[in-house]
Amino acid sequence: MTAPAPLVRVEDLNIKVRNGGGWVHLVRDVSYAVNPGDCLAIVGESGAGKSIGIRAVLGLLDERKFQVTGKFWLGGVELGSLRPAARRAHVTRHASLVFQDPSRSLNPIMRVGQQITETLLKGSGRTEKLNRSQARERSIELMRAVGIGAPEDRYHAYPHELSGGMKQRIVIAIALACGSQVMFCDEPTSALDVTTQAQIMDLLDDLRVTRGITTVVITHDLSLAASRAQEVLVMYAGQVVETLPAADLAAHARMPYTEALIFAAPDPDAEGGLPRPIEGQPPDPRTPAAGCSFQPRCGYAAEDCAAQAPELTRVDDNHSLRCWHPLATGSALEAARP
Amino acid sequence: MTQLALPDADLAWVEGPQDQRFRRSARGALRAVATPSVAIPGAVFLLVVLACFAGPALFGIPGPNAGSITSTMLPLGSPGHLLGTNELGNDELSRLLFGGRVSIIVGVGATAISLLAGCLLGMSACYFGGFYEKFIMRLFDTLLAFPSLILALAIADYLGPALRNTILAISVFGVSQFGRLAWSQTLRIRDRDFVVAPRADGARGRRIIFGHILPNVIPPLLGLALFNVGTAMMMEAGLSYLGLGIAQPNPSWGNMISDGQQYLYNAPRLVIMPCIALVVALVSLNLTADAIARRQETRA
Amino acid sequence: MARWIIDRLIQMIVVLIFATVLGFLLVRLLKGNELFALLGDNYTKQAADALSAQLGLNKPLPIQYLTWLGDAVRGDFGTSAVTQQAVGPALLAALGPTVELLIGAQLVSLVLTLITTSVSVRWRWTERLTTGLALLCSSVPSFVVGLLMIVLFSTTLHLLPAIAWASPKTAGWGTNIEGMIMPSIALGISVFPNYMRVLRSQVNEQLENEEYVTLARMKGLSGPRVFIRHVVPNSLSGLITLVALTTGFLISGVVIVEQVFGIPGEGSLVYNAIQKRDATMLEGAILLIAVAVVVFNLIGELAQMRLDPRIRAR
Repeated sequence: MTAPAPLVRVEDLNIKVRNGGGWVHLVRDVSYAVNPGDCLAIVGESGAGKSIGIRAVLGLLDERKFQVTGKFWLGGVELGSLRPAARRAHVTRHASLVFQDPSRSLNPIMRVGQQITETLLKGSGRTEKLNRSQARERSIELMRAVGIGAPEDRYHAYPHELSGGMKQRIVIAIALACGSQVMFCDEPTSALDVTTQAQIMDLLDDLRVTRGITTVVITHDLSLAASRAQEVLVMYAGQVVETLPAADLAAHARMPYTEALIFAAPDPDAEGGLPRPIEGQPPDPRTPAAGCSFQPRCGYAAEDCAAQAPELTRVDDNHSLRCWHPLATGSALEAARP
Repeated sequence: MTQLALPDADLAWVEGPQDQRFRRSARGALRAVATPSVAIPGAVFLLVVLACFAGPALFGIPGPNAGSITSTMLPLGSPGHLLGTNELGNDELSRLLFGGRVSIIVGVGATAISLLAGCLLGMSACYFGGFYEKFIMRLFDTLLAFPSLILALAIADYLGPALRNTILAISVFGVSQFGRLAWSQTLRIRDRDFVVAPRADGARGRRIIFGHILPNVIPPLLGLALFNVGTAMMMEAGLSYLGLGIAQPNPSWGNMISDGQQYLYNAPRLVIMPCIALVVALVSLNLTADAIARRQETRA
Repeated sequence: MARWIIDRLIQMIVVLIFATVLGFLLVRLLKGNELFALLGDNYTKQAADALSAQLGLNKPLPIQYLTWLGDAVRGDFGTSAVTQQAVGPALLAALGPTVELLIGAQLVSLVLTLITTSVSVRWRWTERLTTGLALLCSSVPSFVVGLLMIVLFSTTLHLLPAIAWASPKTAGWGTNIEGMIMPSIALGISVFPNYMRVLRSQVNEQLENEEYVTLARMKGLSGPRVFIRHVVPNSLSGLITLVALTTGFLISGVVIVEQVFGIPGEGSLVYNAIQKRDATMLEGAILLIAVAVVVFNLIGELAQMRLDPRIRAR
């Protein structure tokens, strides 16, 4: 049985940034693929290289400051094979972006409805010619689809008149209006309160199911990732340290960092479950360690961990990890949790 | 006189970083001069200054009013008159150089006066506070609000067309610019280091002013000063053009331009040459000032 | 907010009073000379005293100031002793050309600003070029620009008239505007560098820090569209304030430019009044100008408060 070709594929993404006279290696050898209709969650602490990673794929990084290498496929087309203008056109047609802070994603002096309509009328992803009133109708339809009540009234609102969750819905509506099949979400709920977070994630999930939109969600919240995604990619210090299916994450996670993340997340269901934040700080990319980058903070570190950096090894069908001493599967993890 | 409630220990700390800052900024200024973006236009301007002040003596150029009726309106390249002569027979090159002297003297002089007066007024206003401060600040506002040229016009007219008067008239506007800057710089220190009212006893007070306030006030003012020289030179040109600055027979680029205007059709060189001189001087000066300002910005 | 406005208004009034006092004093300096001008060869001490009493010059200074201010507020600016015409109507007549020149200059600088900003943002390598151009413009006095333009466009190319003013009523708007092109450019060039600096920094700030720009590009909107419809409108707040505040400075420049091009506006009025020692006319003109400048400064500050995005976002 052949799996459908992945809609998004990244191979050996490396990002270097100019620092002083030399280059600092920010993101190293990141690869992933997302099948159509699936949701991939990229998880990690701040500064792990998650946001920069997708910006690099989408071609949003300043070329003067960043050096990006690797191959990316979007919608089956390898982006490197296109000339810059065509690449930009292809990306805007096939991908859309949802940022963390909806207040900054919207033009503060333009009415929200108009910002959606504008996409329909002038965006490069438009599939059909619409006149103004048709576009307006479609915008209102989209607003309804993302869960905005009384869209006809809200159409004329300015961004600062709407709540955070509402604004994020508008951003998602705009993403839908682009007509793209892939949605990249960079911490889409981090700026929202907990209830709204759940609502927005539900919305994204719903869109994924009903419209078949492939999503790549970046988040630092592992529980969020585990509950909504099909596959989870854990990043640390610019590298992929574990990839695994989201189902039953806690049971299958084997990389100590992933385990630490699980423990660090507040989980009301766990018995006596106070979150245990990970001690220490992520390493400074300017001074890369010789061994495993997580070693200084790893509770299970052994002598050889500091000596040599582990490679990403496949342990199972959908499971890879980068560790010399991965944890025993499942049951040990459950038992270890207090 | 009550003791200033500032123990020596505090004063020592205050002394440290700020003295360094002064020394640092002086060093920084020297280093700034070394970069090409500053050095090149700076050199051009210095060349202009040199030409105006040392040129006539060096090259044996006749005085600006030494012409005779026999050699009026000679064109460019005439023997003995490289740039021709004007309607009175005076050598144009000579007039340009001597006119440049005037412009530069006025520019520097007016700036110096504005700097001094503004510094004094601004610092003292901030230092003493109260009604005096409010009064001075409103005065500055008024001077800034008042169209500078009109102010200068009226003053220059009242005082009469003489070099000294032109300098005075132009300096008035600059006083408020320097004054406001001095005031804001003093304010930063006043708020930071002196929580107690600055009714210092004699020696301490003076030491504070000269030792600490001045080093922080002077550098930014010097930066502004360079720009101000350019502005002052422009104002002088404007005033002289209108006939209210330097008057004949003394040449100034401004009055050379207005004199030449009547011959705009048959001998535009009489207008164009002083224009070019003015533009070259001002552009080189402004480029230098701008480059220095940029360096200060990036280092800050 | 209201308290701030009242506070500012009071400050403005104080400044206005100071300005009028200053203007008054200045004119008084000239009034002494006015007697010379009026009497000319017939100047004797007695004649001067008599004229002085007749013109009310022998009353104490504060009284003169108040009388004058009182009259002015009622619209009576007196009659010029030199030209024998009523000052008020003369001021009014001269207003037209000056206002037109001011508007023209602002338009020219704004257009230049938009063009240079757009160019330097779109093609980054032009950034130094445009900055250099701006520096050049700020280093050249407006009358020099004016004269050079006359030399080029009038004397050599015969494209534009050297005499700028043609009343629209008599010669039609076409000729009028044709004449005002050069003076507007001459005056506008001197302020465009400041405008460009402000707009460019705000635009760059928007482009670098604001995610809505990235999103707009991701939507597939073309570069120019994003720039004009999204970035520029969000960058205008500082510029608008600057435009208002610069009007005061432009009024100063008007004096010279009107002389170069022979425009019968307020600037020429002031200049002639100073030359002829026409104190009454000068008083009126200075009052008018001071009020205008102060009002524009207030508008500028109000605009700054109002357009501050932090306030709008509330």
